Amino acid sequence: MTYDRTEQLIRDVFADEAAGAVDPRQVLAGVRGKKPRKSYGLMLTTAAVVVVVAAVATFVVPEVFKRSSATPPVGSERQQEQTAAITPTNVLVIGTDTAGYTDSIVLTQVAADGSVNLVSLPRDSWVSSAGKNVRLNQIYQTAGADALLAAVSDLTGVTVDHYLAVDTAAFRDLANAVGGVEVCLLSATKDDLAGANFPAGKQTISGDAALAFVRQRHNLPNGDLDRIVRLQAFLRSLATKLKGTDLDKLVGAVQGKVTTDPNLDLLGLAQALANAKALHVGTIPIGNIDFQPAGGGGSVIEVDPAQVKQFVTDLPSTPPATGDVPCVN
Amino acid sequence: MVLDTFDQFAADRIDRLLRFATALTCDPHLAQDVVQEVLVRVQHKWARIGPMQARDLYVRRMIINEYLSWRRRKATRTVTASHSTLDALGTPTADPATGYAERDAMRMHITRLPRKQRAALVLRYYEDRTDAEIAELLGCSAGTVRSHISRALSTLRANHQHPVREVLS
Repeated sequence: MTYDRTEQLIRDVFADEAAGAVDPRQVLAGVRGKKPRKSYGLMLTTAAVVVVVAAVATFVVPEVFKRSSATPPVGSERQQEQTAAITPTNVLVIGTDTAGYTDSIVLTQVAADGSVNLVSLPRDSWVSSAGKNVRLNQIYQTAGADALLAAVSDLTGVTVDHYLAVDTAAFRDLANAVGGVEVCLLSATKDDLAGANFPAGKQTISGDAALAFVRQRHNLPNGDLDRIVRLQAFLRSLATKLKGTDLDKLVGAVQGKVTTDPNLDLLGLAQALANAKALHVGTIPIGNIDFQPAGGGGSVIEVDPAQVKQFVTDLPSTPPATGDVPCVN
Repeated sequence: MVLDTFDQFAADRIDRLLRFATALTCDPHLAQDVVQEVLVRVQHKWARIGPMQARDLYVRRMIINEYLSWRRRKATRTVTASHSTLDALGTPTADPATGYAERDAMRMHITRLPRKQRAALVLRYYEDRTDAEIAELLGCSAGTVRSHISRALSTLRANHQHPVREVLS
């Protein structure tokens, strides 16, 4: 891929600046506190209140009843009980950096037979969103989660019902909560910017090292594409560790660091991953990785929606990931 | 699609809008004022803006216009907060590929660019938008966008060649 140091500096400066934004809650409070300038604003507010009340009555209340009646018994056996009835679910897991960029996008499918598919989508994929071609990692930030779900559904042919956005910093807590994750590196590697400094070979990582492992993309032969493979290796090892972990506690540890749609059952997702009958892991097929779109904006990765759909359809019938720890760049 | 309320819209977008405005203004507090002002107006006109197809674009355009006119009103305003200040305010855990001193110098050169050039750069390098989208947001032609960006880049490249002299001057 082309690399321009000045452009990289500009990107980093803006990402830094953006990370220094004030607390959004403070600003929201300021907006709500302001009186509308004209009297019909009051009608608007009343109308808004009516809409909110109606929405709560229609959606939230039945949901709460459904949940409270469906609450499983408290006890250590409940993890096993849950596997009895599996609802097929498609969740888009979105890993964001502090600037809100979606660095990792993984389509997670829980199938009715209890197997789980993890499909990585490179962040620089050139995809169609709302009739326009865009870089995949710009959709969440500029058009929101719903737009990203729609774009991924269009690309993969899979109806994505839920999303789970997680600050990549949460990988630190995830790795700690399961008592470390085993990974293997083909050669020693170092990247001061991500805080990475790893020897070659098998090693168990947690805390900051786990975060550095999933973040490093510099000093790697294939940059972001190597990072994708690392995340997959990390998630495979994590899944094997989940079996012996208190999932309630794990979910509690990351709950504050994730944003989800209102209906995602986070504990259910963790249970599905922990009890996966088979785990299929892959990255969508990619074309030219240095495609220069006409509008400018740097190089992107070409993807063919037909090939992607075929890949996603075929993935469940490929051999599942084994318990071995694959060695990666 | 069920039409959402202003509160839902604001709660969902505020984080990204603030980050965008902060990158645009290089000043978290000015960004707060700009976003707050714009959202109060959006709230006021929600009946019209709410159902709009391109409302996200529209709200961004309001923010850019607010920033451009603010800068016009306060032409002498200087942005002085340095990295140490910003580090104290925010958590700088982005994934930077470049060193601090170099970025600090670049940041200073960016704050000195004409405001439209800077807005074009933020839209290109922070939001990854195309020339056509930037043209729509800035209310100019794609050709003008290309010229804003290429001028800004050549200024920044020239300054980047002599970072030490520029930083000390």
